[in-house]
Amino acid sequence: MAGCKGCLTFWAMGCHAASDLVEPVSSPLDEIVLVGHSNVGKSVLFGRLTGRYVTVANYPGTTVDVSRGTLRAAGGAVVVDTPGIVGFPARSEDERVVSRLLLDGGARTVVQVGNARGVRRTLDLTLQLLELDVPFALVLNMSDEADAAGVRIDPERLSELLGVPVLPTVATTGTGVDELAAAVSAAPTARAEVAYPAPVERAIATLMDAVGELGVSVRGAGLLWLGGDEEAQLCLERHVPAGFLTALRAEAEQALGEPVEAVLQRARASRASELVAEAVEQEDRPAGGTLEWLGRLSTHRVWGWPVLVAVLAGIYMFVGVLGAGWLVGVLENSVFGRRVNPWLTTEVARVLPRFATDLLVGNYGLWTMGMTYALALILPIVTTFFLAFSVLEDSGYLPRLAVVSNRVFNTLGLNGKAALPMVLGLGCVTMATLTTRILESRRERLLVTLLLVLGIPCSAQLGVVLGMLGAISLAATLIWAGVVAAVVLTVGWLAARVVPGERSPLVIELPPLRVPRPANVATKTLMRLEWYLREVVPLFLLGTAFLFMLDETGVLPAIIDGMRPLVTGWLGLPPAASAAFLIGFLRRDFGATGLFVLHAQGQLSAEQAVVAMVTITLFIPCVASILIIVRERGLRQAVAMTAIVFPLAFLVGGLLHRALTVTGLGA
Amino acid sequence: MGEALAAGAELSCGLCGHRFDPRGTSACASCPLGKGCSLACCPNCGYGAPVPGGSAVVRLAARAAAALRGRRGVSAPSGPTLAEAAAGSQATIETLERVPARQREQLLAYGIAPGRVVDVLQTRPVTIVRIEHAELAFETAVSRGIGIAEPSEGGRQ
Repeated sequence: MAGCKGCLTFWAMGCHAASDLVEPVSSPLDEIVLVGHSNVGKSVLFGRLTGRYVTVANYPGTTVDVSRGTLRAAGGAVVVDTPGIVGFPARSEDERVVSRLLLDGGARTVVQVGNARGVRRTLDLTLQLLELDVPFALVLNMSDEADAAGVRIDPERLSELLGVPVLPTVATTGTGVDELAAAVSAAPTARAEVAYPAPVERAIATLMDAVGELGVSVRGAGLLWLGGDEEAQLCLERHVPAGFLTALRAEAEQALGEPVEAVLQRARASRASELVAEAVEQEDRPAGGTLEWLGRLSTHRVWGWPVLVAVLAGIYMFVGVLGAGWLVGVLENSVFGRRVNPWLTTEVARVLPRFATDLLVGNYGLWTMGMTYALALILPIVTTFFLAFSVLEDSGYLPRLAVVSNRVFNTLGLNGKAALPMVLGLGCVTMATLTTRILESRRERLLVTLLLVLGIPCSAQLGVVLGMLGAISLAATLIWAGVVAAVVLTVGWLAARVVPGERSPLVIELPPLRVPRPANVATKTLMRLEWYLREVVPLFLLGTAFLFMLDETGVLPAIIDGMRPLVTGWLGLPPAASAAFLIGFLRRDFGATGLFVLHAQGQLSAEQAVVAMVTITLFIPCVASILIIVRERGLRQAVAMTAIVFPLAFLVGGLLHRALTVTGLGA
Repeated sequence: MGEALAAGAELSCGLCGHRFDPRGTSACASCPLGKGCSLACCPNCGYGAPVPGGSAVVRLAARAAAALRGRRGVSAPSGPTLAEAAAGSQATIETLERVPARQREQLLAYGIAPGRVVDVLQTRPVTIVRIEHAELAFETAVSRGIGIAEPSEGGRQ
């Protein structure tokens, strides 16, 4: 998916090691970097400027990595989309990405994308960015929403005051984008005129004398450092003796009599207020409307829960009943079961020798198993899920879910922000692992990653589970959901007490609720389906080929026999379920689909279906997710999680089998 | 018995006034009910006196009362806080000094700074405020650290 292809190692020169250097930038016009607060439309603008689509949604943290594209309008400059930031100093990993990029010393034009409705906050960041002394342009996006809210901005006056182009845009419709593309080619460098107290100016002057050349404005880097930015500190530490920065800060704070961060913030806020007073007018407009009322309802202490239940019920009806029930039934039985597969089996057997026939259309055939699973069973499920999820994303409901669920995550040593990667995990755990970057501490990222790999079923698996257990009974679905939730909560609770560090309280921006744009929903769904077909289908085919080879060489029966004590003795499942668990190591949704087919063939009872689904849900999601955990959390943590998750999955499955047998619930 | 009392602290008997170290009362070791007992017997007169902090029930009740006080915001050491502002009111920020540093930086980045006025939209389960068309949600633990001027009624919605 977009975002994950972006590489963090292209930063060059300046404060970063030569080994990071991949593509040095020779002129500011060669590279244009989009920077701005979260959820202001940077990625939509990036798409408009480059024609390249990256995931956009109505919640902060959609972009957690940099994406690059080529400017369509002029000169073939590279446009870089960056993660949204709350502000400087950088706090979370995705914010550090931006800080590092700005400090790397490469020549580039910075285009700040700001929300026209929150112009004062936008200008606060503008003043910080201008201090970096780079060619600069300011985009006031969502100017239609600002108009509707009665915010009247005079871009010419603001441009005059700042000394840089100021361009109102509506990125979703393309308004103002051509003007922006033209303006960036001549973006000037301007100096922010913020009046800092004398001790701050003295500290900056001393720093400039000590550092000399940095590849980026020393004043800008110094002010970022004084503001508490750790990336700026790392950058400057390479150029001054040990202890120099500490002494400089102490001297400034002694003269100021308070933390220097507060002084800087106050000075900038004061200048931003002056700019607002000169160039912005606010008309009083009555707030309200259905969407605002719904927004209030969705975070209400009581009504927030019924809203959540209604949202979940809607997803269940759309994905579980329509996708996993009706669509899968049509495709699996009518299309593949009765028409495509019988015809293909006959034709292939007529033309090809036995080995090739078995490889393509046998029990473990690439078509009859791999492609049938991928296209007839999983594709309709993920299509409906991606549609529902895109609507949910664009509506702005997800940050409100963080508010409602904050108390639940509190018991897991987390805050409600963890709901965002957890919900994204229902789409794809691999991508959700990347999204943990929006969390503020390593501890929180580790805890959420553990919960993601342990018990959050991805869309494909969720659909299979809902389709299979829903057909058995509501009780079966509730037992599955209850056991998985209990395991996730217990492991999360224990992990929060074992992993050192403190929970950080929730602070999150709530974007306005919006009616999703059909074009964006369709684009996102298609993009995700393309990703699915590219990533999942080859893995399904690989897994099927693997099983076929094991079967042909006689190894599969031996493995099934070897797994008998675990699968049959401990879990109480038929030996044939071993093959499903075997491919479940590759992708757990693939394994779940194998169990789905076993159940459809009458080889699994209701009790066995529940036990099998709980066990495979608690598996590691897929090989790709392990690789991304190695990248994000390191090899040790990835190995530790794998070592915990697989034994735990079988332990819980076996205990559930015994509990269902003893209580008679399984009957 | 007496475990919750600080080392070296003495109790004064409520009956005879004798001062004694409750951990040194020899009778407790032989008492069958001694384990977990929250009373200390005076070595002078034998009167059983409650050990401060010795009762788990009392500690639990004290914690519950503290939590309740905290929720109501009455434990704020100086002036009203954002946690006490009513939904629908406006509040002028006076100080962020008691907000943890990391969250303070976040609030400042959103413009929640001394002198700024916010619309309080909601107070439970978290505080939601609107500042300059942006809505920000934060836990009561954070809003309790935000000092405000006396809240006024009838804020903009």
